[in-house]
Amino acid sequence: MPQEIDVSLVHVTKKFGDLVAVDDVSFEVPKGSFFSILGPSGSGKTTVLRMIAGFETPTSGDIYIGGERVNDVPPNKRRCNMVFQRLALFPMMDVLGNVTFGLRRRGGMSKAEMERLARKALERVGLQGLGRRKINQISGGQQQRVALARSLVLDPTVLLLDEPLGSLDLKLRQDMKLELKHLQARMGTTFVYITHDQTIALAMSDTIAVINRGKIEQIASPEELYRRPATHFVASFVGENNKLEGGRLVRMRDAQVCEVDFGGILMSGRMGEPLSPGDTVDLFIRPEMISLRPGRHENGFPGKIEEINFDGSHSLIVVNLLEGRAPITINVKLQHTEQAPEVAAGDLVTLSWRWDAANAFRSPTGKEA
Amino acid sequence: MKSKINAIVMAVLIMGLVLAACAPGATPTPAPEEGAPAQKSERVLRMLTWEGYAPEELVNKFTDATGIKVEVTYIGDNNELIAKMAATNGVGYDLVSPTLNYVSTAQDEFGIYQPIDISKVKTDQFTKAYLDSILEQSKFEGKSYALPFVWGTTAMVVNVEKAPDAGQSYLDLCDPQYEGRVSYRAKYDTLYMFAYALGLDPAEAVKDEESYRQVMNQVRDKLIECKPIVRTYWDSRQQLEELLTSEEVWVATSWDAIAWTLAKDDARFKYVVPKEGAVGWFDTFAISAGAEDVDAAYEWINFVMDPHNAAVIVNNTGYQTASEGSAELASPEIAKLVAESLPPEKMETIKWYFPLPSYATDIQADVEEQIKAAQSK
Amino acid sequence: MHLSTRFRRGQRLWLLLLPTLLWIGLLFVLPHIKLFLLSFMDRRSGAFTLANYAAFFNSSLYRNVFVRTTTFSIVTTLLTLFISFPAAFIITKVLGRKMKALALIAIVLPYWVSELIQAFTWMILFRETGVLSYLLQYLGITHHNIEFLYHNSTIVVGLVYTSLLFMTIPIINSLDTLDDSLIEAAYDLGGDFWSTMREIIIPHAAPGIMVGSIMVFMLNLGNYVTVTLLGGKNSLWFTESIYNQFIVRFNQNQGAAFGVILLTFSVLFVWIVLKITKQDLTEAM
Repeated sequence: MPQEIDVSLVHVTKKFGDLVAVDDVSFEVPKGSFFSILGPSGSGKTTVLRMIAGFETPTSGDIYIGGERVNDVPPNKRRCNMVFQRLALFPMMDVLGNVTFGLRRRGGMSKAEMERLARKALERVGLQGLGRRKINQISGGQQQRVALARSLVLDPTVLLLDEPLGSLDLKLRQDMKLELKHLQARMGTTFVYITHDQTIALAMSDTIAVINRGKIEQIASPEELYRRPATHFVASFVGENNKLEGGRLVRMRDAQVCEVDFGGILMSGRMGEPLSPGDTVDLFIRPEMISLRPGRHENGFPGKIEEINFDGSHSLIVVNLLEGRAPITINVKLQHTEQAPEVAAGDLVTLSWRWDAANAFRSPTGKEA
Repeated sequence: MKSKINAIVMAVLIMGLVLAACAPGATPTPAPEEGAPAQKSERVLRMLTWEGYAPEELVNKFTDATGIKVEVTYIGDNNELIAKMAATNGVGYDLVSPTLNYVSTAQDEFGIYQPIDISKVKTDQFTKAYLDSILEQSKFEGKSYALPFVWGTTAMVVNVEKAPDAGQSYLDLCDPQYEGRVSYRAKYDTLYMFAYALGLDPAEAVKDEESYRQVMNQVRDKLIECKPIVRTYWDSRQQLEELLTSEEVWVATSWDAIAWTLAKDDARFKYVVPKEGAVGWFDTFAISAGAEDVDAAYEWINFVMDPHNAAVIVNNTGYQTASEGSAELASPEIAKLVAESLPPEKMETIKWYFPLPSYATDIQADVEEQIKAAQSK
Repeated sequence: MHLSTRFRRGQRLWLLLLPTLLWIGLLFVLPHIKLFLLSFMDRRSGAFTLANYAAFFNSSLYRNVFVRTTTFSIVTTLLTLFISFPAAFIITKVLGRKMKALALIAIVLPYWVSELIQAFTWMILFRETGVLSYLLQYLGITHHNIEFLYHNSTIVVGLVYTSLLFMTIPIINSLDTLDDSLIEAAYDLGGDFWSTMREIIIPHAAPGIMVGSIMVFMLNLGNYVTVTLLGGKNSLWFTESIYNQFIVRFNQNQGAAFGVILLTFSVLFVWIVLKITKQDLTEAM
């Protein structure tokens, strides 16, 4: 059975004068999924969202919502609703007035019925009993929920979310993040969420599209994105990484694995894109995938602990490799488990990692270190 | 963004104010000249008068001859003059030029003038009939308060091409054939004209409040009846001139000077005195109760009433003066127009303004407001 | 030490307020007290009397002129609002930066000249032999001169024109604070132009609309120049009656009573409108 698609973009391009904000973007969002568009500010993600909502018209390409082409459908006629970055709640109305606004526009039901639906939506986001409050009388987190309820009460095919958690403080953001995910799972509404915060995207999404300079870099599940980034940009943007720059690809072990020379130290890694011997490459290594053993061992890279940064559940250990011609520094994330070795600054250690913990991409500068 | 809009608005408003401030403003009082003072106690004559009544030419000549400096403040109407004088009981001005009919009433109500000392006046410079008449009519409690100065008439101006037959009577201002082509002032002079045209005698009736109210009410009813005929009530010289020259109005009441100025350059216009006679007014000299230099005031009166000097005022204003012989010395052009419009037999029919008791001012104001408030098409 | 600095700061604040207080006190409060007292005095004896007020309420003429003046002022205020609001909306929400500045200048520019000159300009435009009449004939719409001056509608046109700025600027100021995303959100939730206007934009701009309307209403009520010059023979305005009392009749007591009546009415009117529209004056201002 083919999967049902709620939103699809086909070769969509948007230009503002000479500026190409969105460059030939295509993707599909399956029904009921949580789809995130992740990118730095200015990457074009907001424009993509505004095109889906209908506030911008694509210069070329087509947009489909629920199988229907919506290029010429105005925003108030699209079966999608948006939660705005600054929420855009109506301060001139109370909470209930905000939530019933869309229902009143739609008409065709009694006032009592509208209020019943609105109260149900408020209950769903945990705001029962606050209907008569003014917008400026409720907290930031509560406002967030009102904005959600206001859109969800309309039972949209797609809910668009423009980084609405960005304005909350860290603790509240963590809570809302989970709640949003649960809400989405419970309701089964398709969510399209744009953010520049990869931790949010990784935690909540079924699928993430990474966008940079108007182009899609990779569309994949969070784990896939994390473990097997498709481009140099994705590797550097998603998650923490040790980035070793300007190595020379010496040889390829097989179709996946290559060996890279960093000033006399040979490291193996997964080829994130097709490479050939002699290429200048950057190697990305996840700090939590590196194992650290005290003392000097075979099969690994000897180094000396430069400093240790304690961070609660783990420590970040900065290690200088010993044998290279040029200094190489690698960060290691050490979980504080029972097996965790006791180490101190100045200790001699050996680092090692599996080949697929390191991803190699062609260096964009082409300069060898 | 809000502050940016405010800034733009402020900037534009300020530029506007600056422009307005740079524009040449009306400065009625000529600045006293800075020079080496001859004496320690410098003499100054402060006058409150109408534009054209103290031309710079005469002021300079007077100062040269007497060493008395002159400061002139102009007024727009008699009520303004009285309001200014009443505010300070006359202090601040030495010599003023009220219209005759306001003199005794204002003296009664506000006591702003002092009696004329006829011994200080060169009476032989005045046309005797005017002098006697004004001294008599400005009497309050047995004393005279004014000397004759400038006089003029109000009658009708007619566009002889458009309305060749108009001007026989003031009632022509009510003639339906001139509907929308008529203009007059909603003021006392029009009230008097209509009173005379209706065969009433306001000058006699004014002596009793009730009879004056009856006369004025009849005039009011007539003017309200005539309201559909009038195009608009004129207010200023410039407005009347525009109405006439654009031919939007063919028949109007007019001060003689306005009509003569128009007629001088344009044969379409003629100043006509209807059978009821022109309404005449006299502006006078009166000495302020708060005058500081009474002698300077008399020196100015004697100086200005010299026919050579008075002729300058005739030329300046288009009005006539009470200075014997000044008309002949003024421009022959104006003298000719005057002689045409006001030959001796017409002079005799002039209905001079009569002194107004305070109730009369109120009655007139009531009637004026009632006429203006009446709605017509 | 702490106390004394606090005290001194308070003192300095008072110094800052001093010019305003003097201004209001000397030029507004004192004259109005005097006006109020005068209105209860007999013209000649100066004794206490209510006759000046009785004269107003007993005279159908003054009552009619007063009603006429306020009716015109209300109509003009509403018309000004209907013209200003779309203009303010376009300036704040539609035009780009440059056009916005230009439009603002265009709105403020006519106020560089005095109201008197504005009125004269209208006269040149509207008179029977004026520009508008000529233009209509030139375009072949009519074949004879038409008089546009001296009608009631001419007064309204003139008053609306002189009021536009005072309505537009407060509305622009209030619309400027309206986050565009609120409008987008309303559309997104299914709103159309009118419902968004009614439920979002107008409620948000209400304080500006209120301030503008109050200013324009007061300005119209107190207008003299435009009304007398454009209105012609049927244009008696209440301010002219006040002027007549002071200047023509020398009856400052009657004039003062008229002044107090006008002031009381306009304050009352504004108060009632604020109550009806549930606006708070402190919020509106």
